[in-house]
Formats: sequence, structure tokens, C-alpha cells
Amino acid sequence: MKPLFKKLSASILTACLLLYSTLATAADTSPAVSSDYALDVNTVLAACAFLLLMVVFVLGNTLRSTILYYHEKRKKETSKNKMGATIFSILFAAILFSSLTTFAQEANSTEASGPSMIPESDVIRWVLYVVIGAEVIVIFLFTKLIRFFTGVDEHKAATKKAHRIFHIDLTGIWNRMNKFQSIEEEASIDTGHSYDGIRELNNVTPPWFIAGFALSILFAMVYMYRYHIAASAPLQIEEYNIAVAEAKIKQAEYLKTQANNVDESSVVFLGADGIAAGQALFATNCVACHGDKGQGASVGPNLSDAYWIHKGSIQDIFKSIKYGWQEKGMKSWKDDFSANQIAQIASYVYALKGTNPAAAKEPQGDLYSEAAATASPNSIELKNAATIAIKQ
Amino acid sequence: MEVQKFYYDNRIPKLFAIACVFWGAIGMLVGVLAAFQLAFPVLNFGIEYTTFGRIRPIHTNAVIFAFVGNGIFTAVYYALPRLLKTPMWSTVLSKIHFWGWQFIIVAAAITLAMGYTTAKEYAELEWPLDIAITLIWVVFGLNMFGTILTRRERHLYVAIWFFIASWVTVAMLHIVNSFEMPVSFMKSYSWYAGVQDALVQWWYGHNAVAFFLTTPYLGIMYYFLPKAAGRPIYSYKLSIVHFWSLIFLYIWAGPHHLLYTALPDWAQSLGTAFSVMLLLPSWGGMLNGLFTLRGAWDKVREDPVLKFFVVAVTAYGMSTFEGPLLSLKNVNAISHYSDWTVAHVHIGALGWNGFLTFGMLYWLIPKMFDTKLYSKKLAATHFWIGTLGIILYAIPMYWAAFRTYFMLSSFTPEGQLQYQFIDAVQTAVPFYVLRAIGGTIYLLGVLVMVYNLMKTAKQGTFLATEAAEAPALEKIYVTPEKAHWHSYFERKPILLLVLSLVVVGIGGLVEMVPTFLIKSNVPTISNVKPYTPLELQGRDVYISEGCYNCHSQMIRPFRYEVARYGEYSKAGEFVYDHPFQWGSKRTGPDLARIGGKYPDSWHFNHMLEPVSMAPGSIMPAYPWLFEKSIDIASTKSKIHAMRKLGVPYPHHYEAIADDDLRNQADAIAANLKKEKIDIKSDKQIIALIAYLQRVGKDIKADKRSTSQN
Repeated sequence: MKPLFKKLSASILTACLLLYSTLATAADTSPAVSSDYALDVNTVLAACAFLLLMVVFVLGNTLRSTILYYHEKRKKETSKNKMGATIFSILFAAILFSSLTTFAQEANSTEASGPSMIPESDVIRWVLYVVIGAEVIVIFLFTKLIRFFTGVDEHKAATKKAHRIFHIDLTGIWNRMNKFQSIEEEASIDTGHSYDGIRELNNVTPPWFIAGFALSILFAMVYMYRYHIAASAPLQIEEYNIAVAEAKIKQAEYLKTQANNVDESSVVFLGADGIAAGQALFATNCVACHGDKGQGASVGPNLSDAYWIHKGSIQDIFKSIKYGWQEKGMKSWKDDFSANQIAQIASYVYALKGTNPAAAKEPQGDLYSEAAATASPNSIELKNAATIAIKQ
Repeated sequence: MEVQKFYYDNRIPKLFAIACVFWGAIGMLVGVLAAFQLAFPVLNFGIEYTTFGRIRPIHTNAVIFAFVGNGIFTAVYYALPRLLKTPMWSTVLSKIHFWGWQFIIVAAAITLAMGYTTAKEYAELEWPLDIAITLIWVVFGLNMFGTILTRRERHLYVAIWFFIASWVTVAMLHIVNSFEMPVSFMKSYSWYAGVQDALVQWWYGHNAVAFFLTTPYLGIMYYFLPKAAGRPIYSYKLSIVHFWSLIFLYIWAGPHHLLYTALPDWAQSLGTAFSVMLLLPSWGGMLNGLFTLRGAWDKVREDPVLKFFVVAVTAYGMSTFEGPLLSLKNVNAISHYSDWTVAHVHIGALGWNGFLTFGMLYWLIPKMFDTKLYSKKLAATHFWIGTLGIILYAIPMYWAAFRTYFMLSSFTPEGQLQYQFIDAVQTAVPFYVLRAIGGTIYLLGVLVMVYNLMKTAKQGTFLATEAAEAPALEKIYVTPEKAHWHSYFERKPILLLVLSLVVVGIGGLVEMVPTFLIKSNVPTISNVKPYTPLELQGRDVYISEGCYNCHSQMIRPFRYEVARYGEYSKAGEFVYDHPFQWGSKRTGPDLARIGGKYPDSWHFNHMLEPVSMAPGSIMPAYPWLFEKSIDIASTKSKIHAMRKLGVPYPHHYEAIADDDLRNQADAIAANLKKEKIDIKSDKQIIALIAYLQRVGKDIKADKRSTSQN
């Protein structure tokens, strides 16, 4: 029973470590930037491989003694197959020990560099996966053989003949998981307590409960270790910096492929389509302060007259929207809208000039004459076309 | 030893049971109102007393302290004497406890509606009521220990361990968290500021859930479930393991309410680590409850009491699984400030506390009235209605939480936020409607129960007392040879009390002492200055209107939060915030950097008619702020109190504080006048605008000067 139990606990542990490492890899979305903090998967895998190796050793030893035991038993039972059995077991033992030594060497080769020095390389990772896979197969094989040599299989087959092969006994599994006592035997585990007629049994604490509790404590220790002792995982500010850096790279890559990378120096007045898009954005974002037709309201100034607090060229309007005028209550919209969208809104606002909406707010700022600043017949022409578009 | 005769009193448990049902129905009704307000802002009625910011604390306090509180006392006053074979120690103390507690509840409802609040969640009551709670709690403790010390049963049953641990821990939590500096009658400032206040508050808040909503209810489970099922408790060993591990681990988990905030990283990690370890000890209670029903599952199909218990214990298991899950950083990033948390607490509150209480009452009332339940059918109906209510409540909230998270965190490829906050609000509104319907259905179930219990009481005769007899305890106790080691503690109630206090004390000390004493945990920022008198007055308006119920003031270090709200919050920014205002739920956007974002006139219009400035907003209007005057007379005592708490106002600043206040107020009024808004400078809205324009600005100025970095 002992090796079986060991096998069980080892495989639970392995499964958890594997799960942990895969979770960590899944969470690690960007190898490029966060490689400093990516969980050192290879270390975890190497640790797994090492642990499994220990199990292989234990099982190997057990197997060796069971073979000897089997051999002895057979010798007593019959002398006919004596030679055959001996040859078989010797042969098997040879295979067994050669495999053990192979694994030992393999493990040594990975251990040699020290767990923290294992480089984060895919090749090593795959090698480790293969090693672990092989170890799992060997463990499975060994337990099968141990069961064969100890005669457990034979015994079980004899007792369970009546059962169907693929019958899964869920209730039985559940009962075993919880180590349930049958209700008929309850008297034997009665504590004898009686509080206002409430009796108490003394059932054992379910084994999975204890195992789960132990695992959660292990998790907590690994968690604290990772973040605060090994510093192998990013704390929140580092995590933030990583996310921002990644986003910047992605954004730059995207913008390279886009033609709409306008800024306040390159922005030009857009045509009717741009104005229509700008109008839609204006209607959902700007009307609260500037009125539904840009006539101004108690908060924002009139945008439809010729007076401007911060100048009225298309570049100026673009700039006002993009950076805002915090101290006067105009917020910066550069995190809300793309440059292209800001150009659209600016074009719409630019085209509002002279639309004379009802209930317009009194002028604020200075009379702004664009002709004086930058006269361009082309833009005026465009603007006239746009004004007509709005009036429609 | 001669057998002594004595009587169990049923009058006090009956009173508590009635109070429990009565306040439960009212608390849930207020909750339903609050739920509908989120979908239909018109239901705020434009009156200060019925606005969401004041209604929500009334709801939470009512269901926690009035409904569950009276539920606990019902159980203690019924079960404790029977488990100890002695009547309650003092009838006078019992009566003081009952009426004192009801008085506190009424006073709480009135003062919260009037806007008297400390702004610390589930501890909103002002200092006179805090003192009243402490006194009544001591009365309860005296009565409980008087009973325990005059017992006729040598060993204490597991339910009593839980009652003792709950009592002592709640006392500790309440006293430590309620440390405050009174300014006037019904106004105080929290002793702690900013990060420290947040840590203490959530140490309290989390453990109010633990030691008010959980451990006493485990006591209830341990008494009423085996009674109703007629089965022995499954495992005495498991009781011991999960009792001690639960109370030890629970206390550490508070910081998981503050993940990704300005709380030091190490404290956050402790919160996560201990929350994960808390899972199995919590499940220990569930297992012991469910396994006790082994061999009685045929009864569960028949008996409504057991049906309620099974769902209650299962809901307990579900929410204690969800809790550790929510404490993991990457999950918490989604759930924090969202409706997920709301769903989580309601699985616990409606499922665990609600259903366990209902089961208890369906068992207890017929017992006390010496009759059978009036209608098993109605009880079964209640069971199904209640279950449906919980499901209809929870699922929309989960859904809303995920949808809003994905909206709020998504960027366009160009690097801009894809959605405005208001888009997320609009998305959530239909789910708020569904949730409110779920809550209403649950409340209907409660009303069915009220009818059923009243009919039951009517058809029976009330047993005011029940006779019992038992021998007194021998003076000398000889330990039997095969006694379990733990039985030693079970016959030493005072030792059990002290040990419980030590066990729960450790976690709090380890987390709080370094945060208070080690400077590096809250690095100072030289730009951060105390609030001006007007801003301080405005902050008190903000507190009294309960703005923190919907708005956080804590920008987490996530790209999408920084893009939306501005630079992430730093610990040093909050050193003068008595109390802190980080909030726990964002029904509205974060306000940590609201200062300077909009002009004064925007705030003026927004507070008067939110949809005028933010179309689609579900925020209520605050018309009374435009009529009520600032309580200028209180400025002096407020400045004085703040200085006592360590806020560096210059000496004798009180003398000129009022002048400063008026100057600043006049400037704001003049500024509004420029935008054609006429308002007298002594109105509360002026102070609120001053405060809002200040929030988060200290560090903004700093950023502008170093923006080239």
C-alpha cells in the first residue's frame, strides 16, 4: 500500500505544479516585454521531473523487491518454470536498472545548471516535457508491474469477477473519498456527547479536505515567495508599466499601417463626410456644454460665431479638442477620440461658423479672422460647401 | 447530586424572532427600492432622505444588524440555555439587550436617512450610536457569560464556541474600527486616514461578514440542523479543525478588498494568500452540515425546514468558494468595483443567512407555540419563490459585471478607450431591472413566510416557559481516561474566550502595525496639502450624501483606468483623508481626479440635473444642496478636530478659517456668475464644488511640472 499511496500523493503534487505552471504561462501574454517576470516554467518543469524521478526510484526499488519476492514464491510453488522465471526476472531487472540509470543521468543533466539558471528556451522546455512524459509512463508501468508481481491484480480479478469491467461505482468513489463509515456502524464512532439531545459522531475528517487544505497552504506560501522573496512575478506598478509599454508598441505598429495619423500641424479641413462623422460625435459628446447646434450653453462658449477664445483655425480647434483647456473647463479628449475623430469634430465645429443657430450665447473671446492669419481660397471654398451640407 | 428544576424562557427568543422578521422585511423592502432606483432614477423622489446614497446604507445596516443580528440573538437566547441546561443568566439584561438593540436600529434608520454617517461601510453609524452598540454588546456578553458560568453542562457544544468567538471578535472589530474624533453631536472624523483607514475599515468590513454573518450562523446551523434532521453531527474532529482554522485565517483576508489599490503590495498579497487558505476551513462547516444529513435525505424531500437548510449550507459553500476566487489578483481586477461583488454578497446574504434564518423560524415558531407549522405547502412555495429570487438576482449581476468590464477595459487599435463610462452604465441598466425583480420575488417569499408563521402562532398556544431539570455540576471534575484533548478547552469558557481573541488578534496586528508604523508603506508627497475650510465642508457634504456608495476615489494601476481617469492613485495622496473615500463599487465613474476636469458650472448643472450634463446618467439630482446653507459655525471645531488627528493646520488657524472659507466661496460664486448662474455663496453646492474641484489635484499639479519625464 505504501508505494501506492506515495504514487498518489506524488501525482497530485505533479498535477498541481503542472496546472500552476500552465496557468502562469497562460497569464503571461507577452513574452517580448515581460520575459523578466514570466514564470520560470523550465524551473518548475525541472522540479517536476526531479520529483517524478524520486518516485521512479522508490517504485523501482519496490519493484525490485517484489520481483525477488515473486521469484521466491514461484520457486516454492513450482520448480518447472524455474529457469524461465529466473531468466525473465533477471532480464527485467536489467532493463529496469538500465532505465533507472538513464533517468538519473538525464535528471543530472538538467539539475547540473541549477534551477534558477535554466534558460528560458523552448527546446529545453520540450525536452523536459518529454522527460516528464516518459517518467509518467514509467511510473504507470512500474505500478502495473508491482500490481502484477505482488499478485494484487490476480486477487482483485478473483474477487471482482462478477463486476462488469467498465462499471464506474460513483457512490463507492464518493464514499471512499470521504472515508464514510456505514450508518449501521455509527454506534462505534459515537463520541457519547449529547447536548440538548444533539449527539456527535467522530467521523474522520475527509481525506480530500485535509489534502486540499494542505495544498492551499502550499499555494499561499508559493504565492508569497514568488511575489515578495523571489520577486519572480510583477507587483502591480510593474505590471502596469509592462501593460503600457506593450500597448505603446502595439499602437505604434498599428498606426504605421494607418494613413490617418494626423496631428495639430498636419490637420486639414475635411469634406462633407468628415463633417457628418464629426457631427455625430459632437451630438453625443459635446452638446452638454456647447449646445446641440454649437450655440453655446451655460458651460461652454458659442462655437457658431466668429469669436474665439483660443483662435478659430482648423489647427487651433483641433488643438483645443485634443489637449483641452483644463483651467477653463474644456477637458482633453485625446484619450477618448482618435486623431482622425478629433479632425472630424474639428471640421464640424469649423464649419459651424456663421450658421446663426437660435438662442446663441453672446460672443466670448476675440474676433478671429482667418483671412488675416492664413488666407487660403481652397479652404474657404470647401467651407462653403460644408456649410450648405449642414443646412440641409 | 440532587436534580434541580428550572425553566427555559421563550419570551425573549420570541421577541427577537419577531424583530428579525419585521426588520428583515423592511430591510429587504429598502433594498428593493434601492435596486429599482438604479434603473429608474426618478424613484429617488428628489428628496434627500430617499436618495440612493442614503437608502443603500439603510438597506445594508438593516439586513446585517437588524435582520441577521436579531436572527443571531433569537438563536442564542433559545439554544444557549438548552445547550447549557440553565435559563439565561439575567432576564433584566435580556430585556435591556432586546430593547436597546431595537432602539439602535430605529436610531440608525433615522440618522442615516438624515445624512449622519461616518462613510465607513457597514459601520456608518455616528459616534453616539457606536457607543450605544458597544454598551449593548457588553450587556449581551455579560448575559451570555453569566449563563455559561452558571451552566449545568460541563462541556460547551461547538455552537457555543462559535457564539463566543463571534462575540469577542465583533467587539474587537467594532471598537477598533469605530475609533473616531467627535466634532459635535452626530459628527466625527475617523481616527485613521487614507491607506490606514482603508486597511482598518476592510479588516472590519470583511470580518463583519465573517464574525457577524458567518460564524454565529454556523452556530445556528450546528444547533438547528441536527435538531431538525434528528441526526448526530457528522464529525466532532472536523468541528475542531474548521473552528480554529476558520477564525484564525478569516481575520487576515481583509486586504483582498483593496487589491490593486494604494495599499502596500505585501499587505495585498497577504490578503490573497490567506483568502485562498480560507476555502477549506469554510467548507469544513458546509461538509459537517451536509454530512450530518447522511441518512436523512429522504426527510429533506419532505421537510421544508431541511430544504431551507440544505440550500443555505450549499449557498455558503458556493460563496466561500467564490470568495477565494475573487481574491486572486486577475479575477479581482474584473470583479472589484463591479456588480460581481454585489452578486457575491447576495448569494451569501440571501442564500446562507436568509435561508438559514427561514429554516430556523419554520422550526422554532411551531416549537414555541406548541403546534405544527400552519402550512407545509406554503413553506415549500416560499422555498421555491426564494430560490428563484436568488437566481434572478445573481445571474443578471454576473452578466452585467462581465459586460461592463469588457466595455470599460477595451481600447481601439489606435489606443483610445472604446467606450465612455456612460455606455457601460447604459448597458447595465436592463440588468439592474432584472435584479430588482429578483429581489422583489425574494421579498414576496418572505411575506408568504410571515403569513404562514402568523397563522401558526394563532393556531397554537405560546409556551412562555418550558420546564427542565438537571443536576448541578460537581465541583471537582475527573477527566475520563479517553477524553479528547480538545475537551479541556470546552470546559474552560474563559480560556476559550481568551484563546479566540488571541487567535483572531494575530492577523490584524501583523497587517496593521507595520502599515501604521513603517513610513515607507505610505510615502509622503510634499504637494499634498490639507483641505481648505470650504473644501472640508464640501467633503462633509460628499460624505453625508453617501457619494462613496457609487463613486470610488481610487484609480487602480491599469492602462484602461489611467486612460479614463488619470494617473493612478498613490498612498501619499490620502494622508489627510479622515475618513478615506475609496469606495467599493463604481455605479458611477471614479472621482479620484475629478478636480479641474470640468468647470464649476458643469458641476453646478450636473448636481441640479445630472442628465443635462451627462445624458443617460442614472445619478439622482440633489436640489436641496442649492437651498441648504453651509454649517459655517462648525468650521472651527472641524479644523480643531482635524488638527488633533494630525492634520497640519497652522496654530490659531481656526480664527481665520471662516474668512478663508468665505473668500473661496465668493470666488466660486463669482466664477459661476460669469456663466450666468446666480447662487448665494453660502449654499452647500458651493462647498461641494470646491471639494470636487480639489480632489486629486495636488498630484496633478506635480505631474504637469514634470510631464516631460
